[in-house]
Parts: sequence; C-alpha cells; structure tokens
Amino acid sequence: MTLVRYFKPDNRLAKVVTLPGGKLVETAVDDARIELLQVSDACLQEIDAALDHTYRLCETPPAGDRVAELYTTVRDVAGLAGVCALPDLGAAALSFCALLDHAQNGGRLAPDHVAVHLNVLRILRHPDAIPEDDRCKVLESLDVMVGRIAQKAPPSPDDAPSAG
Amino acid sequence: MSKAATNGEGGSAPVKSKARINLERSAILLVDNALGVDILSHIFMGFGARTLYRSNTAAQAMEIVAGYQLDLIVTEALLQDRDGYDLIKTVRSDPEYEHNRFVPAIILSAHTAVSKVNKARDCGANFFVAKPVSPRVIMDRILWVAREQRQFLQTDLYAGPDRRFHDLGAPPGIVGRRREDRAAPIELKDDDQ
Repeated sequence: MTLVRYFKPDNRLAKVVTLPGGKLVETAVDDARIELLQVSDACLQEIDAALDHTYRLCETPPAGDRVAELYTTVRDVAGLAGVCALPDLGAAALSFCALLDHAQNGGRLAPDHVAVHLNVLRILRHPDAIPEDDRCKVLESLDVMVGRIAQKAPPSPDDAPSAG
Repeated sequence: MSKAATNGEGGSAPVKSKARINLERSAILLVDNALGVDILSHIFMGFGARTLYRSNTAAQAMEIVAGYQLDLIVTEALLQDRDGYDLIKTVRSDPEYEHNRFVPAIILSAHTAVSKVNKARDCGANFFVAKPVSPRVIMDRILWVAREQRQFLQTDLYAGPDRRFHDLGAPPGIVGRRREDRAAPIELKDDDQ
C-alpha cells in the first residue's frame, strides 16, 4: 500500500506579488525586454564560441564522451539563439540535440546526418542570407530526418512501466 | 509538473493589461551557467525584483536554499555539478530545507534528453519551461504559479505539486473509490433522447 499525504501549503509567492505597488504586468515585460538588450552581444559571442567548438568536435566523427560534450554545446546554442532573435538557428540546434540524444541512447550517429546539421547551423547563423520559405523548408527537412531516425530508436529505460 | 507549450513571445494567452505584479519584496534564486544567470537576472530586474540570489552550481544553490527563505526558484535543468531536477527533489524532501520545502520551482531546459524525462516528471517542480526564455513566458509562468491552487502531495517516491491538472473523474462506467471522485458523465446517444 502506498501512503499519500495531501496538503495545501501557503503560497508565499502569491502573497508577495499581490502586495500594493509594483508594476503593470505589461510594463514589467517591456522593461525586461529592454534589460535583455544589455546581454544580447554577450549571447551572440557565446553562440559563436559554442558553434566554433561544435565544428571542432565534429572534425572527426564524434563518438563516446565527445557526443556528450557535443550535446551540451549544441544545447547551449539552442538555449541562447532565441534570446538573440535567431529562432531558426535555435530550432536547428534542437534538431541536432535530438539526433545526439538518440546516439547517446544507443542509436547510430551517421556522419551524413551530422554534416547536414553542421551545414544548416552555418547557414542559419546568418538567416537573412536566405529567404524565410527556404529556411522553413530546411527546418522541416531536419524534422523529418530526425523523426525517421528516432522511430528506429532502441527502447529507452524510460519506456519501462514504473511502479505505482 | 507542466511543460510550457511554446517558448515564443506570442505563444501564451495575453495577460489583462491592468494586472499588476510586485516582485520588490520577493527573494528569488536563479541557477544557471554564468550567461544564463545574467539573462535571468536582467529579466527579473526588468520585472522589478530586487533580491536575486545567483548561483552557477547546484552546490552553491543548496547553500542559499539552506540559508534564506525564498519565494521562487528558477533553475536550469543541466548544471555543471548536478541536475536541476535533483536540486528541486532535494529541496522538496530533505528536512534540512524544510523552510523552503514548498517554494515554487520552475525548471528551464533547451532540450530534455530521453533519459531524463522521468526525472523531469518526478522532481517536484511546478513548471517546466522550454528555452530560449522570453520575458513574456517567464512572466506568464510566475503569474500562473502565484495563482495556482494545486495541492501538494507526498509519497515515498514523490513530493511536490499534484501532477494532475484536471479532475476528469472516474473513467466512464466506473464508480470512483474516493469521496471526492465525481460521478462519471453519462453520454446520451441519439437513440436515448
């Protein structure tokens, strides 16, 4: 038998945010957007450094620990790209993350699939160089490719039914 | 735990324009790598928060959790020294952090590895937000967490907000065993009407 205790604790955050004063929500969001501009240059530098590291890690076919390092690096690109108004680059990085995650779970990491992702990352770093429709098609192609690969994935430990 | 459906500026329901938020007296812990904490700090400063505890490691974050009463924790899922999931799970279950046991927690992640999905589901966070973060999405999650009415529950395996968002009642044709179970809705077919 499983003992389950239910309770309703005080929500301190709820009490704090409703105190008199503060800002209009819309003003707060606008102020935050303005604040974020201060870090956009640092984000772009970090993205470029992470991309350079990614290309270096892929100079020879990645395997073993290098796949894990590559995953972490590409994941950083995915997390930062949207902050710098590079959402397509972020989407390509997420696709690469899915591919690398598949490899870390026992799937095969084909050099062609890696090469395609590297090329797309290079292109989408400067998205204005190609029309938006073409960018969408490229990202859709990546989705289809990684989706097919994931379908062939070996069962992960998470697929096992959990107790309770 | 819930995952934000989108991470774009336009992906969430608009908030009422007259709504106000006051984060001036809140104590918020931000945990991420150096640049990630900078990004979060600027967002929260824009929101008007004044007390921000910043940490780049889970170990440093746990010291802050032990030493201060917090109103919100926002942590990256993949930290240098430990998972953000483990951090939240420890806060929820370790008596050392009793004073912050129920603190709202939001986990950020650009990508969730297949091997971490169960961990993410079971860590006891209130929300899971996909990176890249935007001020609009973070604001919506803060407001949601502040308004949320979910009960906490504790079992041997899980401590945190009830993961069931909707009470759908017992399955059709089944009488619920609990007092609060609603009767299953009766579907009327055309022939019955």
